[in-house]
Amino acid sequence: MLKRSNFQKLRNYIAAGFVAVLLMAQPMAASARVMYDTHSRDSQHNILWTQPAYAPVEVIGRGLKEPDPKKPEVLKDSPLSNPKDLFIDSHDHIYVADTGNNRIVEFDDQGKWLRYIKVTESPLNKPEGVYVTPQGDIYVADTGNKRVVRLTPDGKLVQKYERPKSSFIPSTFKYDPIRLVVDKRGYLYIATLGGYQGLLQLDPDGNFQSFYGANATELSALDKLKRSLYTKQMYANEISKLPGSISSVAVDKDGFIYTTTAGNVTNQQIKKLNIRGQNMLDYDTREGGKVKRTFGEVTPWERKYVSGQGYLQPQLVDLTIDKSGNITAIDGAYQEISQYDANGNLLYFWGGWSSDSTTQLGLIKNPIAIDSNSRGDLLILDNQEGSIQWFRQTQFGALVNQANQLTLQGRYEESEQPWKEVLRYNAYFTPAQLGLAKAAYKRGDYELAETYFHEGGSRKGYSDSYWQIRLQWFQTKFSTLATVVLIVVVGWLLFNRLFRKSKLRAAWKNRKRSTIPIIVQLRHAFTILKHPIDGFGALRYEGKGSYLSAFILLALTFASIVFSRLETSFTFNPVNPERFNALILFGEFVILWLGWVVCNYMVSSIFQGEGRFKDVFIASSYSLTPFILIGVPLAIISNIMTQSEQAIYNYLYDALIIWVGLLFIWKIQALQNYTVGETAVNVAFTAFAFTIGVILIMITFGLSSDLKSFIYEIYQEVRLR
Amino acid sequence: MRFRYRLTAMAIAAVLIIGLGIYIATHLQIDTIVRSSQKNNTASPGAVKVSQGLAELPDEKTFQTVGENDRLRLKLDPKTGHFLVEDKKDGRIWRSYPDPAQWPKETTGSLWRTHLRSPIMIQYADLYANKTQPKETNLLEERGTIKDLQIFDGGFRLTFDMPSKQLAIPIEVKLENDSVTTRIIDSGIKEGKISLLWVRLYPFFGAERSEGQDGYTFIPDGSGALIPYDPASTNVNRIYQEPVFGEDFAFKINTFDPSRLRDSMPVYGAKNENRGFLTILEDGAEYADIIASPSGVLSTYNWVTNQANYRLSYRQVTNREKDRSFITYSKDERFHGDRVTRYVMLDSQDSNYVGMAKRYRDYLQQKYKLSPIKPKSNKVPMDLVIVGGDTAKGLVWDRYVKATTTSEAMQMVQRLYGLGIDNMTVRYWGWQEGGIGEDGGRSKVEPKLGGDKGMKEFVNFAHSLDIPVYLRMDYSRNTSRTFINRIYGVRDMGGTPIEKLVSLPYTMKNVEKDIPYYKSLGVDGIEVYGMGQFLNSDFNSRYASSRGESLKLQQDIINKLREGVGHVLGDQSNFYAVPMMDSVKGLPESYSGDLFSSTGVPFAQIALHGLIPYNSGPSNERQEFRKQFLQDLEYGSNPSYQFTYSASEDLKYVQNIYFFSPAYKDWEQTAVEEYQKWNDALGDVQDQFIVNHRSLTNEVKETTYANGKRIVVNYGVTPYTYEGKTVGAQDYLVVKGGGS
Repeated sequence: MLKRSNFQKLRNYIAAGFVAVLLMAQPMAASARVMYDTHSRDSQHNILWTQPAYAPVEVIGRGLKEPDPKKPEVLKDSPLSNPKDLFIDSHDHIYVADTGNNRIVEFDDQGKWLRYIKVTESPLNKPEGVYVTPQGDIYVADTGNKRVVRLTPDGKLVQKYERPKSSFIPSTFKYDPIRLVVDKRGYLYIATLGGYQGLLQLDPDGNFQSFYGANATELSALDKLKRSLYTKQMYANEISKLPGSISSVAVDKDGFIYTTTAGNVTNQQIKKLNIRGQNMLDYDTREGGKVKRTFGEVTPWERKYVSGQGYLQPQLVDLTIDKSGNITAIDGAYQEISQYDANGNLLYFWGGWSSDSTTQLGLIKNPIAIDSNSRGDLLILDNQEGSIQWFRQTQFGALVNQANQLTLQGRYEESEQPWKEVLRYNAYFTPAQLGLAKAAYKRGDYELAETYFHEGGSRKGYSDSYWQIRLQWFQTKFSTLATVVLIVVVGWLLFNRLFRKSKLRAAWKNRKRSTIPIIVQLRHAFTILKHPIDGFGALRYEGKGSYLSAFILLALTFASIVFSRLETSFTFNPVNPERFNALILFGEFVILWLGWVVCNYMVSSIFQGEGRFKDVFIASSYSLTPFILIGVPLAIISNIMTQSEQAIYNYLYDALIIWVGLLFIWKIQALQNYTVGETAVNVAFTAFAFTIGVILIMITFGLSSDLKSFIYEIYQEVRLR
Repeated sequence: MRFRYRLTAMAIAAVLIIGLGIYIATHLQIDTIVRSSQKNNTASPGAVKVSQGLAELPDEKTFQTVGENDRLRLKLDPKTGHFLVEDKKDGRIWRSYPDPAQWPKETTGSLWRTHLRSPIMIQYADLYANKTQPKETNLLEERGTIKDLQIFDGGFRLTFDMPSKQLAIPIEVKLENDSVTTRIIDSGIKEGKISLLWVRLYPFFGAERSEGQDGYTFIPDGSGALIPYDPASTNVNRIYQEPVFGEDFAFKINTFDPSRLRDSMPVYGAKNENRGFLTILEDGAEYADIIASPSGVLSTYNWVTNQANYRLSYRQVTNREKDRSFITYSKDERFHGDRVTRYVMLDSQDSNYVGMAKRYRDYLQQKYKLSPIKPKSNKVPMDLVIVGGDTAKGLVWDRYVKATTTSEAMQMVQRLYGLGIDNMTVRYWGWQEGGIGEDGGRSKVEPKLGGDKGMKEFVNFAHSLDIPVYLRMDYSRNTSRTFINRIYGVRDMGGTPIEKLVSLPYTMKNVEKDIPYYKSLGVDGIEVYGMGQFLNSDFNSRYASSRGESLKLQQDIINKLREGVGHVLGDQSNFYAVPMMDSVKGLPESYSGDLFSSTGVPFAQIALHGLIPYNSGPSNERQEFRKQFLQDLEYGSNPSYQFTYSASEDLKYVQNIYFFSPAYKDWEQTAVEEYQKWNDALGDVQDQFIVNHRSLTNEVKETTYANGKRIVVNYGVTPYTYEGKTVGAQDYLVVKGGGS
């Protein structure tokens, strides 16, 4: 059947299976070269498909032999057994912590086997981590012996780092070193198994310095509630919330320490730590806060649902920083490899599930460790297969990297050409659109920048470009504009003065108003806005409205909501007009509206309200007029606003909502002849009734479909077994 | 009111009683108690003990000649049922059992040892037992006998009788020119209580150990791949096993896509030093799996064989939501039809993958009466895919997104023609009303693209430039509103309709109705998608067809279109359809990357070049632009581009397709440049067979054509010197043939 790369091209995320395959099979020929999909994301987090950024070159680390202990002249197979770590030194030699065989294996830069390091004078026991300094000193996290050892380049033991003695280390702390790095000063940063305290930092002599880069505990809303309500005793009985433990550590050429965190964490899975242990990958918001980034990618259709826990989180188990500063992390849960640039922006991710019955180039069963060499190649250790997959940047990957490096260095003009080339290969690749947008902005071509920012989905960039465009417009048109304003103001004053007493004005004031009932009824909406209590009362007692007018107002309201969704500026619009479906909105609108009217009517009639169903229906429709009167102009005005005017936009939007809310309250009060207190009770009960109604409907639907499938299953069992 | 209560009570009671009945029926297993007493007879008696050594294998002195022609001699050992083939010229021998010269080194014991010695391996299951696992056994293990041996001129017939399993399998072996065919005679198969799942006949034909020889196994993975004989390979634990012509959706068990490429060719082979053979599956190929095992996995022999399946497991869904199911086999129905395998003994100098491919080319040429291409010019045909339109989600309902109207197509073709691409074929994709995704036929040209009138004008225009126009249609699915998949759709073995797949007899009617319309448009032919590509059994009782019947029906549909409209083009077609196509798009150029296979080879391309034009897919959809261009040249593929007139951004939100970059304005210059290089390399060899292909280094490959022209491609990062000339890194070299 089809290859996965055809499957990849499915845009509708239909559950895996042949459904998807058949639909998707259409676009691509079967001659793709790699066996996995490569994705990126646009700014709204939708999946994009890209050409592979890295392609597998070969698999190394297989076919290892070792002299048979009984007959040393015979070489017997000695494959990697449960290997846990991989490190590439400054000469591109590859070191593997061959945990199951209690040894470190060294390969040369081509992947040819060189030697085993076993430290015979004090044998290694299940070593899980290895690090080699540029000088060639080998550090091994000798997990089984609960120590870290430092070896000379030829593998002789120099120093042992046992559990340090310090009163700052809690007695519960378990010293099981799994990964480590050593900085230029010779300080060790050791990741320990389940060590939520952070990295253990030791000085070259093995004295405890500090815990470094500890993670924060993630508290859910429920946890916060518990914390505020529970007594100290009760809270202590809860399962203690611990921060995620650091799964791996790496260091880049500038000496920054990076960590990955696995476990049930939702952000900061990758951290780049400065000397003070602060994370440099959080980004600043306009309000001055810090936003924590999320790392570890998976496509929505590959996510696994674990009942009781929700979706399984990607489990980042290791990372590497390549020569360009890009961060590549591997995910043990979904076998995905995610690459981010130095600022933590996603470039692409690839990999995924593969069949257990095959071992194929580029498909990794259980990625456990990753490192990169001086060429920028990625080597990934497969724990299950006991082999190393070697990946090299493709033409496309190299082009993206070249362009992105220029952008990161601020050389926007130079980046323009490569980004354009990237976009020629992949017209929807978001980083390229944003790169070109920045280049255009820098050049002062704000119109083009605005277009690219819009395509790339950056609201901030779009808004900034528009700000510039608006400024230029004001600057060039200022004199004309000022003249026009002056003329209008003066003209208006003159007009008023001249015609203050004229007949025309009187005639206008006493013009004949339309007496067509429906127009009168609609005009009543303005009366309500001016005098809500009286206006709603008039609806009830004077019959100022009708079903027809109510329906017209409802239709107008719905139309203006749709209008706002479509026409609000990209800067403020939370929905993408291209993906917006009015039918769904209509359904929501009808359900909410009818639910409210029916519940409100029923609750009111129980509580001795005076309004009839008709009155509730009509009055509720009249309460929605602000949507038409404010919503539409706001959507239009938003198109000449930028994020600097966000406050004004928010203010107007909130005012609209509050006004509608108030109208509803006045409506109930006037219609049912309630006091303020009764109104409040009424609103609360209506909301309650609405909730109950929704639950009831859901239960009925659920039960009846269960019953249907129960009967069907019985029938099938009888027929088929 | 009371009545209603009684009704409810009765309903509940009825449900309870039925439920109890079912519980009893499923859990007490009344009938299995009876059967379990007879169960013992499924145990195997075990092979007769023979001490390890050469005596385990047939004694070549006892073989008797049963057939002979001017090239080969077929000899049979009546005692074991094994045969061997002898080349009369040079005495080379192919055996139906492992090479005896290496047998003493074989260390495998117990069951696999008897498998290796046995002429037939089977898998069976007692499907009437409650919990049953399929079991593998062989003739020796069952102490089976050889019955009804008949020797006729040029071959023999015999029956493998396994009374312990109440099974009897008659076979026939025949010598035909340079080949030997084996046949499992369906009508004679006898099954008792035990159900036959599969048969591997002479599974170790040509099996060899790796030491001391240059050899490999050839598997039809993608374009073809080699599994080298590697004496050092001991850490491997995977084998190659793939169904011929791809998975049957009616028997699909897991929802994951296979991670290997589809096996589109019913061939495999092996090279043992100078004793090469090519195996072609003939009758019943659609029910076969091809299995190749490198040495060190199940035995120390390298072997490759085909497995004739008689039953496949399937998923039986039991609830409406289709999330509960069990996996089972069909007790009564098995796949029918003779299974014929042709083993072609290759000449000494042709004992390699090129020789195999050449022999397969001869075979195709003979069987389908193919003749070499008559090229239109000395420029290669550019395969231009024009994308018409698709739909996107709209404000209220789906909106149509136009990509290329017929008049825009005209401008595009005109422009490309003017730039020098004057040999072109156009495939219009998504021309139909509603665009791409509207499958099943009975469509008119989308009015927004210009309607019938526009299409006719475009076709006339193209014809004025001598450019043929094909329309693309997927007749394997149906998305029209009148299509109800419960009535007209393909159902899997468990009875569940498979998405929008349409039963072939139903779609055949649409094809017939469509032909006059296509003719009225004046198009030159139809590009079929799905037909010849996905091969499924259909258990829709109205239109039921077995996989074999589906294969015939697909061929009929292709023929019908061919006769009615003129030409048919294929897309990623299987080799039962490829010979019926005027050209094939998306012929794979890669292999699945299994670690046991060292390299992909252009087997399919060697077999087809000069007979049927092919390409590997559009250049602007490549994964690695330069590399795949080089590979196209190495594999002799024609150029192809996939274009829209509108900008790529316009297609951002369409639903059925995802292109990387389809806008023709971004690509026309590249396309023209590539086209010129293509002409220089392949323009004058369109009708030439590929006579040789080899690896000069891991990253440098050489392809030789019949007229002597050679293409040398260097994928590496360092230049390579070829006969004094330099082939640059990531570059290629064209060496003109001597005479021409």
